[in-house]
Amino acid sequence: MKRLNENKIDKLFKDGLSGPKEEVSFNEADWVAMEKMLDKKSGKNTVLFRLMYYTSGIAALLLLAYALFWLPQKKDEDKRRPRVAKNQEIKKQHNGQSEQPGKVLAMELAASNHNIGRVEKVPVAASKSFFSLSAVRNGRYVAKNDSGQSLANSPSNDTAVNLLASGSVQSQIDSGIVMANQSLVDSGQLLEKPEQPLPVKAPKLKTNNGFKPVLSLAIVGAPDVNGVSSLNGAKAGANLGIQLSVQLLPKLSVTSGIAYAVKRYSASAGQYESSYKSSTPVTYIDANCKVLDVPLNVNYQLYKKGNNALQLGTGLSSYWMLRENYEFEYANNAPSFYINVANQNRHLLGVLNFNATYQRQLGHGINALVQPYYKVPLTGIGNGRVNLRSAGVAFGVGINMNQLFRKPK
Amino acid sequence: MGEAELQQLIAGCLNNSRKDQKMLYKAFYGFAMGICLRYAGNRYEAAEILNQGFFKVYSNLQRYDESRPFMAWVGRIMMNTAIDYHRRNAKWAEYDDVDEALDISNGDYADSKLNYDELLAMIQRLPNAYRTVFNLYAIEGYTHDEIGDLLGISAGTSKSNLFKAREKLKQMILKTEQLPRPDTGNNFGPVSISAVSVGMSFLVNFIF
Repeated sequence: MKRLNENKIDKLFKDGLSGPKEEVSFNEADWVAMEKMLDKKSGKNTVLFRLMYYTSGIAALLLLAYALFWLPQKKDEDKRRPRVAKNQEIKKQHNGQSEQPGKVLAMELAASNHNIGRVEKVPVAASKSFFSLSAVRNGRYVAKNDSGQSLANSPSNDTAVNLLASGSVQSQIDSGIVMANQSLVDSGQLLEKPEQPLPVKAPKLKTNNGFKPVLSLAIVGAPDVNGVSSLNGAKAGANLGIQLSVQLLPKLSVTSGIAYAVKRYSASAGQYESSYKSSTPVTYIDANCKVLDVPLNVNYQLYKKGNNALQLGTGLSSYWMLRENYEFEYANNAPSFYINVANQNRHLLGVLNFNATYQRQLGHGINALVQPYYKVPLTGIGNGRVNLRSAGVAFGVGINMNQLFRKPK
Repeated sequence: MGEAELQQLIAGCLNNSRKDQKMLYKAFYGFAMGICLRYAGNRYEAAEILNQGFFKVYSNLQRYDESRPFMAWVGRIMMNTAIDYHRRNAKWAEYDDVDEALDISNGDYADSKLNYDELLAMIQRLPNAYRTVFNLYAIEGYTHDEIGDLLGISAGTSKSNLFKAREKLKQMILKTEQLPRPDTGNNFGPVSISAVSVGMSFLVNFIF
């Protein structure tokens, strides 16, 4: 480094400018600026919390959307309840008016008539063949019409209640025209065209064979190893995140989420792209990066039996490089050189994911998952554009939202 | 500052003690600013480089090897930060390579009575590319090959930049030496003007 021929201009400046300077006095304004930088640094930690906050917000919104998705179905069920309540009121009114024994007799006649419907006792422990309003209302009987189609499966039992409770049937009974009633029921007109002002909307039939999307939320933690180009000499890292899965088809699901990852690795000088060239050879570069990993994967269910399921998945991850710390180690014990970069690199859909997920139901909509994974970058990652590969196993606990929101039986 | 005191300060900084961070900043302010001023175009740039450098010092204190001198470690970080600061915008390639830098120092500049501020003002007036190479070569003692590696330029470009830096500095020194110096030069000018002015006002008062 030392040269024999030292230029005189060089010497003049070297003597005059190098070494500690008493001329440079401390300036408080510089420290104020420094403090702002340090405050900003501590503020960076809040970025993560903010992201987690937003993530929980998004998760809450998804839950809300899901709840709203379920609400209409519940409403369908609830719709019938107020109607029954109304009917009860109407019935009460009728009851109030129908104290005459003739009416009860007429009702019995009407109800016991086989033309109205064969009455089956669905739960065996039901009342006797007496066809009362309350029995129908409570759903203990299923009326079948002549075609054999169950009226109870449709809300026709309710319809029957409505009709019976309504003034139409009552008036017919009152007038003693039982035969007319029978003919109405036979022709189906009674069911289709009630004369009652109460709206009888044909509710949608719930089909059991229709597939419903299944939403699952899982919290996962994953120890992994990270290496450049290969996993030889890889260093350990850690991930923590949430995964949100939507099962779109019986065997196909889409997973996304967010994970905070600490990726530590070592790279050789050749593996790390830099215009910064050192005179002393770089032996290796130690990296410690804090990354936000947002995956978007598609999973195929390979196997499912009982409580166990196995899925294979692939997709792309986006990396947000929150903080990157690189330490350049030089030969000959030269001082290390550091590069710290914050929030400067992001790789949208820049990493290819492969994973396999083993899921086991634990009951009550909770499941455990074990997910080995491998990540291969499609682009150079971070400040040094390194070919950073990761392999690990994620362990997590998931909640099946469908079961969580399932109506109580 | 004693070694034990320094270790305490470092330990305090590692615990994010703002008080200790300020003490460390103050303790090495003069030394670090001396380096930054040489690499910067002005004091504001120097302060920016200084704070970026100190930020790295605080962030990487846990990696500091105590067996090495702390001052050298801080100095190296400041130098690297300064190089990095200019490297983003420097256009190294626009300067022609020369095979060999000529020795232009025939005059005895070592005897020049230039003080720190004058020398600093001169070096700061150099373009970034010249100044960085001059600093690295003349003051830090790197070779052209090393500078080339450090800055990502050829050794020839480094030589060319050094040559041009010296040329400019030489002109600045000559210009400064030709000017009358405030402490040694003729300072009768302002005095005589004042005397004439006082005399004139006395004469005017006397007439009217």
